[in-house]
Amino acid sequence: MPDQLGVVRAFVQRHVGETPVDDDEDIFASGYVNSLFAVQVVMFVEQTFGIEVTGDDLDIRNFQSIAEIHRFVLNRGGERLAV
Amino acid sequence: MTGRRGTVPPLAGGTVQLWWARAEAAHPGHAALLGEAERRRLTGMRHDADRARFTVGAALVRLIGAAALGVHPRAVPVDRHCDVCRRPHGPPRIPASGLCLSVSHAAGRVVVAAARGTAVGVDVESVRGAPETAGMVRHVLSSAERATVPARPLSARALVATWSRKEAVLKALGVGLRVPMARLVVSGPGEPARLLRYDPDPAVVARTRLLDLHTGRRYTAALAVLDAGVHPRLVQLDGGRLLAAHPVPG
Repeated sequence: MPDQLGVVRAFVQRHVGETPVDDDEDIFASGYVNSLFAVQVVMFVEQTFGIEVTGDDLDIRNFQSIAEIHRFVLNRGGERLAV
Repeated sequence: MTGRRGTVPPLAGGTVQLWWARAEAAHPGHAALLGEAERRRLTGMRHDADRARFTVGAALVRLIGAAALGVHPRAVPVDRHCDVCRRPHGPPRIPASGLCLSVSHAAGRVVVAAARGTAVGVDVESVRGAPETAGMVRHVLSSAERATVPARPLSARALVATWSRKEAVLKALGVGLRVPMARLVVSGPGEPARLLRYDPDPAVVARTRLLDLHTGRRYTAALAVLDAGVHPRLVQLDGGRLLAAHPVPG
């Protein structure tokens, strides 16, 4: 069973194509995704880890990299509910 | 659209120049106009389309800056440091030029807004591929905006247009997406663009002029201008022509 970090990695990877992305790489600045992708990340986090994310959480700093997304999930006590 | 001769017209106060270009407008050699930090960022991009868009935006910024400073585009001191984390992903600034710049790209479109002495923020988005509307409603709209959503669901286009308006304001303020979209209230999709509320600092509302821009039905775009009076003058310019007029070897 993949861990949370692995699930986040797989999600980001699915959206940026075949190029491997480092955990700390800024996925927005790298041009992999545009700003609207932040909404997709939030929806992924909600659906995958059962976390309720409010509009006030949509701060780019929470979602800038694989590592930040993972940290956000951990801070919110997210559990992996579904793949 | 003016700028047919491929030159940068003088930029007067109270005017905003909008330079539009297609993502494929850059000759590969235009990358040679870029500075070291920009080329490093380009190297970090592994998709051709991303490199093309970034090159068009960065080359236009340098050509506009070169006209203002009277120097070669490569000699324009472009600073892209983010105010918060100091990484080079912030908006381009050209110290001592008096210019305020904002760049946006989406799919096949690139736009650069340039003004003198007044902050500008521009955003263009592709409607295609936008996140599903339920997510947009929950994470982009404020509670005040959700309360006015009509019984008929908002179209993807209307929601993306709202995003563009808000992102333009956040870019003009220099805060980017560090301020959640739900903390801004803008006018409804069918109404003229206006910033109605900005929770982090209510005084921003009176300083901000917001305008929808039109660049084809597959895109939404908006411009925010700070402290420029009621009617900033917009000049639409052909960025593709400007790039084509500056061929570079390579």
